[in-house]
Amino acid sequence: MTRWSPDQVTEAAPDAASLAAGRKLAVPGPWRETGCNDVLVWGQCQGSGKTPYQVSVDLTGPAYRCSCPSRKFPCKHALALLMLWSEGGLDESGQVATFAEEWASQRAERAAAPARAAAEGPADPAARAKRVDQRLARMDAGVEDFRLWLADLVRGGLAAARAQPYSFWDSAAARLVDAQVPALAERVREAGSQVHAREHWAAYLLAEVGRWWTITCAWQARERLDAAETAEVRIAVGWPQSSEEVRDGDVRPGPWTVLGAHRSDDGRLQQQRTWLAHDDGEVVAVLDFAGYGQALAVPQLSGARLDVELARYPGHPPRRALFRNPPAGAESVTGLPGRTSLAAAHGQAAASLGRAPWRDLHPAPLADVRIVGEGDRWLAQDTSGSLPIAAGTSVWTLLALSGGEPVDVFGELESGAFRPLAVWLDERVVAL
Amino acid sequence: MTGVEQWLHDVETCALVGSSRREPPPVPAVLGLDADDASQSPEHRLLASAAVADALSRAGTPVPSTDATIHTAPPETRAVCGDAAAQLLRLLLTQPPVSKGARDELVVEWLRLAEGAGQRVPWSLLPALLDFAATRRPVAGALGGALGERGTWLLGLNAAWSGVSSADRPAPSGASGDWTAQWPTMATVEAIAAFATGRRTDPAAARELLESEWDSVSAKVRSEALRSLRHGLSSADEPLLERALDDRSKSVREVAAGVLDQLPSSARGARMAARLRPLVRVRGTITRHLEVDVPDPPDEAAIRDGLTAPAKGAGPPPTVWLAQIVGAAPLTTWIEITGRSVPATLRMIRDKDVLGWLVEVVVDRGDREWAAACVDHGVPDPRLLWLLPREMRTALLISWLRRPPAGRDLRGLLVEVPRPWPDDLGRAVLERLRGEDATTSLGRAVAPLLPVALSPTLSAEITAALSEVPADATHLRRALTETLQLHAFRTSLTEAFR
Repeated sequence: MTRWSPDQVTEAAPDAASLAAGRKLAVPGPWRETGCNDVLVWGQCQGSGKTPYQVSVDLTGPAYRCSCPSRKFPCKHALALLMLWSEGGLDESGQVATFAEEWASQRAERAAAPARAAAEGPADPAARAKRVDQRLARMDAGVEDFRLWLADLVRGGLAAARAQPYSFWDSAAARLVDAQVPALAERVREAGSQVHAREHWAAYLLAEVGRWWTITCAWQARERLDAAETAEVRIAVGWPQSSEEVRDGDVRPGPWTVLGAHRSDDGRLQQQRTWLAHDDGEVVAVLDFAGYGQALAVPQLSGARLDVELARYPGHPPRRALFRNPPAGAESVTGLPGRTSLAAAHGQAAASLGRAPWRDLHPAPLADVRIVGEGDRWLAQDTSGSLPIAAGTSVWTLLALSGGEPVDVFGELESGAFRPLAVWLDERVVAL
Repeated sequence: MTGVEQWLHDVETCALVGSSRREPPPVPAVLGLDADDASQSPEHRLLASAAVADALSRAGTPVPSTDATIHTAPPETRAVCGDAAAQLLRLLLTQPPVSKGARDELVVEWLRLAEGAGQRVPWSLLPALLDFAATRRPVAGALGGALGERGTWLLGLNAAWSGVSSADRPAPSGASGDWTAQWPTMATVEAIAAFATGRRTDPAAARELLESEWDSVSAKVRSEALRSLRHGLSSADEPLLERALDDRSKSVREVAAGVLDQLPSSARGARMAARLRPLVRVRGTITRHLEVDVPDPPDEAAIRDGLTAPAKGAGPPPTVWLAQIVGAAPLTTWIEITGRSVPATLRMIRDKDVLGWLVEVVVDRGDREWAAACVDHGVPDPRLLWLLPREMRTALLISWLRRPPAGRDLRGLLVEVPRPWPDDLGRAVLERLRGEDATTSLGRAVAPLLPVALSPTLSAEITAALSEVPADATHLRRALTETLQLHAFRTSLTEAFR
């Protein structure tokens, strides 16, 4: 596997403190018995205790193990080891340390277990069809129940709904979870908290309710939809495609260019969304998730041209995709693919609403966009118009790099705002 | 408002109160939708309208335009720093390889080197640097031209960085230009500050100004301005001080006497010497020592020279006058009386009080010869040590490190020594630390200083010490490891700007 760049190691860190602590340990001094091969990096780090910590990193996951008591993943020892490795400071020829080998084989066994179960398990089509029928019946009932709840909601009025406690929304969401439509449940829960947080809550809630209604209508009419549309409805209600099925399905080889990436962490779940473009303009998004205490997949550097096969989920473009193999061969490009105006990006987003009206996240490769404004109100502006910068996004790096001049920026359109993710300068691409 | 906009508004109103209270408005025909099936219930029609309204508001509205603008940054006049230097600054800001205190120092050093090389911070690091500097005055003060045009421009856009810009500006200086012309008309506080600054830049000009304006400024300004004369004090100031001894304000007279204490060569110093001589007598035949009498109550002339006037009833004890005389007389008076060297004279003083007053005089006047003699004599006052020449002080500290003297706070002294330490001292400290004292209080007190105190030329000794300190002395190990890292970092920093 190609060695990670220092930036990739940086991105793997759970927080700045771990990174700083790791940086201090990234000197040969405390390390013994270090080494690496194609998939594993290992070493022993002398901490404050008598026994050195045994640190192993599986690069394919990536997965980390360390005998230290830290609950961060990866911990500072694993980060320091990766830094050393990234700088080329580890021996590549040696024998794999026993502790690392044991751990790797345990992991391999655990990973193989479900696959084996799937392979050896009763491939009984009848039983399988029965399970699907059961799920569909539960979902149908849940959606019908939700439609009644929605009708009650608008009969009584949104003002009355706002007076309800959070449990009102939460119990509706819980019923949706029971009915196996978790994505819809998540939307309802989010609205339950937003309705008190937002200034223009009435317009927001009306739009949300309308969107939920659209989803239920689409679900009930799914017999009449084509495959791509059905897939979009499945995403909207949260009936996931198994990645095993996708992996061998609609595969497209590279090169894929990384446009930009967004990371978020709501305390329970970390998410990473990487936008990639093919040479013919097709844009896909690779989503990674990690729970608390787990590590997200290594981020890809914006502007990198990846020689990798992507398996695409069914649906309308921009489709979700996954890496079939670890990305390799990262030469970089600096021309932003598909660069367009704000109005045109907005238009493309509107067109994709025609296919999936509940979508609210659209890629926007903007050409010659300028950041204008002052104080804490900033907008992205070009000759075709302007959109506010999404809340919670810092504009300072973008301003520092552009100096107020027009630059190419890749970002996302969401809820009528623009979220810049990477600025494409003449000579390099900088993730924001 | 168009028909569609009116409709969107009506849908919102209807949804707010509920379809049970208000009939949902019919969907405008212009939208060409089949959403108004009369057979549907009002709730379903309202929900369908909400769905249309949502899609319409997101997809049907054009991108708005704005009149917000921004003035663009002026072009840079300096070259950006090299990649290596940029990488080091990035490390310092995001993943510091050193402790917090050392990190601030290194960022300041980075900025100084950049300033010296006429280079600037790369644009991408400006936000992180400004965030960092916003809460650290020394860093903010060192930013200077290294920010570049872009950095200065960016600084003005974010209110959170306002602390940086105020620290960046040079401190208001009263001494610049024609402060002397405005001085007589300044408010008291302002005048005092301006005079203090002016005295530091041009002592003679300040004195002449005070002399010419003496009768026109307030007593408060006179006394405070006199106090400022301590900076750059010389015999040229004597006439003014002598004149101030006759001032009508008591506070001015007291300050003048205090300042004259530091000018023992003055006429007042000679008068005080004359008062001291009759009080000191050499006694003893085998061990000769000094006997010091208390003076009689002061006469008019002595009171003018600053001795406390005797009061009716319970006046000041006569020792107060003795202390005042000792504090004002030249130190040479003592040599004249004994006819011996300074160390020998010190040994002859048996009176603890007199010795204490003398030490104050030595510290106050910064007399190196007497300070050295006092230290030799075993006076533990650490202020004396800082009066000694650097080499002498270092040699003393080294000898004390090898053979700890009783009654001296060695830890306190080491904390006070200016850093970086001279190599010899650094070596002696390392030697002491790697011995059996690794877990003692000395090690604990000194460990945090090591990274900034030990010079990079000692790297071999530091490495050796690291391998010898006991395993349980983690604070020392950490400090020594960090010292090595810091030195390595400093080296790469200097190289990056070469």
